[in-house]
Amino acid sequence: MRESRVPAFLGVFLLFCCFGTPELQAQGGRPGVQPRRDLAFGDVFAGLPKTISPLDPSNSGMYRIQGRRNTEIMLSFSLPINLVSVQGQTLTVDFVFGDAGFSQDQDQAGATPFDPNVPFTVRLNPDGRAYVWLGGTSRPTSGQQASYYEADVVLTATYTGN
Amino acid sequence: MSRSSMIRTFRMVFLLAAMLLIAPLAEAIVVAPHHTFLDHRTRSSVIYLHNTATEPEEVSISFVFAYPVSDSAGDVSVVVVEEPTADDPSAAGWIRAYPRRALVAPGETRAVRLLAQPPADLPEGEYWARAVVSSRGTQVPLEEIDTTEVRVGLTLEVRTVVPVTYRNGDVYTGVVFTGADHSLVGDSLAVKVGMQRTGNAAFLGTLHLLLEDASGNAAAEEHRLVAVYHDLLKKVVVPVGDLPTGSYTLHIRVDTERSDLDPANVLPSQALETSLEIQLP
Repeated sequence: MRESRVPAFLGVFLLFCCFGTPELQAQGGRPGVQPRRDLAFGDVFAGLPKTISPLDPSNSGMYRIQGRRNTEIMLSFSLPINLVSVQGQTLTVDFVFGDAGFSQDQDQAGATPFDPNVPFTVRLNPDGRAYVWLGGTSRPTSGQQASYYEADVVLTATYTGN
Repeated sequence: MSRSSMIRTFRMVFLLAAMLLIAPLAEAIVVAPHHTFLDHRTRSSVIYLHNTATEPEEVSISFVFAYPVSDSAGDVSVVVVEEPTADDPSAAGWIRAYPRRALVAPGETRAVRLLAQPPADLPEGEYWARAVVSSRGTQVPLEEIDTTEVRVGLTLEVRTVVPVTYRNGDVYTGVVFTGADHSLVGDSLAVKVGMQRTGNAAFLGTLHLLLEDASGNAAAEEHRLVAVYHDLLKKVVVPVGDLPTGSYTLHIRVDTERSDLDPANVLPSQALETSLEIQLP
C-alpha cells in the first residue's frame, strides 16, 4: 500500500500546480485583476503641476489582468477629478490620452498608449495575461495646503464574451 | 535513505516546486466561472472568489444589465444599460448575491451563492446580467501618513465583470450573416463579419476563418469566440505577410463550439458558412 503514496501525492500536486483549486478549475476560466502598484505622485509643490508618465517604472499605477487565453476584455477607468485631504481640501488631478498604457506582456516601455477616460477593448495574450499602466497630472494651486490628498481610481475589466 | 524519508524529501521538493510555479500566477481576487448560468428550475448558482494575494481583500458583488455591442470598425465593447426598459431582457434587478460583501483572507476561496427571484409571470426566454465583483485591499490608516507636506496618492480599486445568464423554458438561438468584407492593413488581412442573432437567446459560439490558397491548401487560420446578444460586427486580423501573391479563398464559419463553457450551457445551433475571394498582392 505504501507504494501508492508518492503517486497519489504527485497527482494532487499536479492538479494543484496546473489548475489551482479544484472548485475554480471545475468552473473554467479565472478572470481577475490585480493592482500591482498605486499611482504615486509623492511630494508635490504648491503651484507646480506634476505629471507621472505611464512609462514611469516606479510611480505609475500598474495592473495585471488575467483570464482565459486570447480573451477579449473591455477596460474602463473611473477617474477622480479632485483628490481630497482628511481636512476636506481638494487638489485637482487630470488624465488625458496617453496617460494609460496597455501591453500583452510586461513591456512597459513598449505599451500601447490610450486615453483612460474612454473604454478600451484589448485581448489577453496566449497565456491569458495583460498589463496596464496609469499616469496622470496633479495640479496643486499656489496656495495648496500641506496634507495628504487621496482618491480612488477604479479599473473595471469587463469580459465581452468575444 | 529510508522509504519514509524519501517520501518526505519528495514532498518538500514538490512543495517548493509548487510554490515557485504558483507564485508568478499570484493575483488578487480571481472569479470563477467566467460565465454563470441559472435556470428557472433551480434559480441558483455559485461563483467562487479566490484571493491569492498576501493581503485580505474587501469584496462586494452587484449586478448590472449589460451586453456586448460593436461599432462600424468591428471593435467590441460592452454597453451598460443603467435603467433597462420592460423590453430589455434584464435579470439584473432580480438576481442577488449571498453574501453581497465579504472579506476574503489570503489564500481563501469564498463561495458566493447567486439566487434569482424573477417575477412570477416571467415570459419564456433568456435574461442577462453582469456580475460586478469589486475588490480592494485593506487600506492604510491615514493617521500613519505624514502630512507635513503636500502629498498625493491614488488608490487602485478593481472590478471584474462577468456575464450571468438566466434561462426560462424553451430557449433557442442562431445567427445569420449580415455581411462580410475584408481589407489589407499593412501585412494583415482585416476581416469583418456581421452577424445577427435569431431566436430568443444569445448566440455563444466560435467564428472560424480559414484562408486557402488556389490549390486548396490552408494558408492561415484564426478562431475567435463570439457572443451575439443582438447584432455583432466582429473584426478579426489575420497575418498574411508571409504568404505569396495570389488568389485565396477565405472560408468563414460560425458554430456553437465553445471550448471555454460547459457544453450543457451552450445552446446548439446549425453552423453557418460563407466565403470571400481574396487577392493578395
